Amino acid sequence: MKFLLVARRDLAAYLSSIQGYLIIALLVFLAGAAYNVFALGGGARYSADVLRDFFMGAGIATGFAAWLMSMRSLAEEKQTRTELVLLTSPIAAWEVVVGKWLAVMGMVSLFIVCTLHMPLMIFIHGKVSVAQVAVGYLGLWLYGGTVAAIGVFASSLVRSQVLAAVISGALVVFMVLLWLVAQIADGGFADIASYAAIWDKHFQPFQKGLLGVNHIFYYVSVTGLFLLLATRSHERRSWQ
Amino acid sequence: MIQVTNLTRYYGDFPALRDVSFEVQEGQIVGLLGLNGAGKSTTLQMLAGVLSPSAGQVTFDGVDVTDNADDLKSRIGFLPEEPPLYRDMTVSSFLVHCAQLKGMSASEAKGRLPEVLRITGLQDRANQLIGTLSHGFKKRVGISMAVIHNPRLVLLDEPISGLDPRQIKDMRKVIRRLADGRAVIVSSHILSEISKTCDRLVVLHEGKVVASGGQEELMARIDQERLVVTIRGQAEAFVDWLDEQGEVSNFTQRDAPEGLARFDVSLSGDVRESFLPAIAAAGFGLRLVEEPDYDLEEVFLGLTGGKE
Repeated sequence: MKFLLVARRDLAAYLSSIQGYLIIALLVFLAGAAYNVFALGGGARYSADVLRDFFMGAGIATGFAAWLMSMRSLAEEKQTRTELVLLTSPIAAWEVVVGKWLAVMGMVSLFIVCTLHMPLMIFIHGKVSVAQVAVGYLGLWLYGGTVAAIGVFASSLVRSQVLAAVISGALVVFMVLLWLVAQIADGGFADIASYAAIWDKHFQPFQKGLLGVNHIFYYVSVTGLFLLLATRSHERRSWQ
Repeated sequence: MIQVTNLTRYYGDFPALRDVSFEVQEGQIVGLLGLNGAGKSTTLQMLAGVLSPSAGQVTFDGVDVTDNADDLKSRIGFLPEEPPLYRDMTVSSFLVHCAQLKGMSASEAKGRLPEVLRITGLQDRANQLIGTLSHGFKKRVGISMAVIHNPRLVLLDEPISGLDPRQIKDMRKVIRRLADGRAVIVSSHILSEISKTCDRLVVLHEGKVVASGGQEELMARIDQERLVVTIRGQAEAFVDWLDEQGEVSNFTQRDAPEGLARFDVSLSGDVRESFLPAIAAAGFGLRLVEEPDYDLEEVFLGLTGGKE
């Protein structure tokens, strides 16, 4: 259970620095602005459509939160040489990686909680069910978890936080744009690109309140894959 | 307790360490002495389980450390040259965190904390943020980190580098206290500092052990070959006489009070018993014979036979 020690330390570090709060405040503001302009704006609309558009804006903001929070995880340890605390302790590489990911998810979860007032307004003034809102939030958390895993992986590769952000940002953008590739490709490759796209096919059902096991499976497996890659990358440093 | 046998480490094609062997017993403080690049940090990092050896073996209580690296890490404490500290944590929370990572429970770690803070003199800094501490206190936190889990072997890489004279004096006391019931290996490139703290020295040069033993033993090996002699007047005649002596391999004249001449003489082997009477027999007024003051460079030249 040493991964909980790593997670607790990192989460405390996020919460004791002003950057974490600034990122959350800025993204909540942007998600709120998008909610007012795109979801609520444009006259009378069905509650379900407003909720769907809210989750689109919140999803984009959640991706940014996970991306920005994850870039420091392992890269900062290398930059400040505090990774020696971990490398000289009897802790498995997977525990370090999972602990780092959990800490990022703690902050992502904090951001997600800060957006709750928006769907609450729709719930009070419109006609949406608790289940619809809950499914949307599950989607946000799963998508945020996948972006965070990509971020932790990128952070395990390099010493510079900026470079880690560039790598993870490029990976996420590539995985989002795979739906475009699917549009112009043919046959089996189009199917693969469509399935691998991180947003289009898998997140939109959650926006609409539709729960699909295959989409949960996609996010969990991609998250697992990148955490595994990060573990292998960290292992290389453990016993050089 | 810990036995290092033919330890070798390559960085690419460069041999940073070659066939290094030594042994450390419980209660001993052993100094790894060497110039920058001698292989001290590489040795300590391999003992700490951070680097893997290219060849050779390290055994801890007879068990090969590569067979059980995790168990070893819980029994070894390591302070790198730059202490790896989380600046945003307080001293006590950081130490408890490190102890838990090493395998202690939170209650065990908190129970051990007062003793460690006492040993390292950090009682008054327990609740201070690490980022606000001075360099000397950060070193102490680093040492506390290395011993919080009560390890049997403590590795300290250049613990006195960057400290002022008062901090160095305090640090020597801290290191001596650590040896109670455990083995300590300290690396340094400052002979005078390490020799005052350690029971035994292992001298590394270009990745190899060139000498090992107690301070007296090592200095005696060098002292046998150098002397500083002071004679009354006649400096030019003494220079001519030294030139004629086969056992004198080198000499340099030093500053001396008026009427006296002072020479640093290198001999080829321990021939002091015949050399000193020969000075008097040649008619020179021998006033004083001294041991030379060695700096680290000279020690290495002495121990490596001048092959710097």
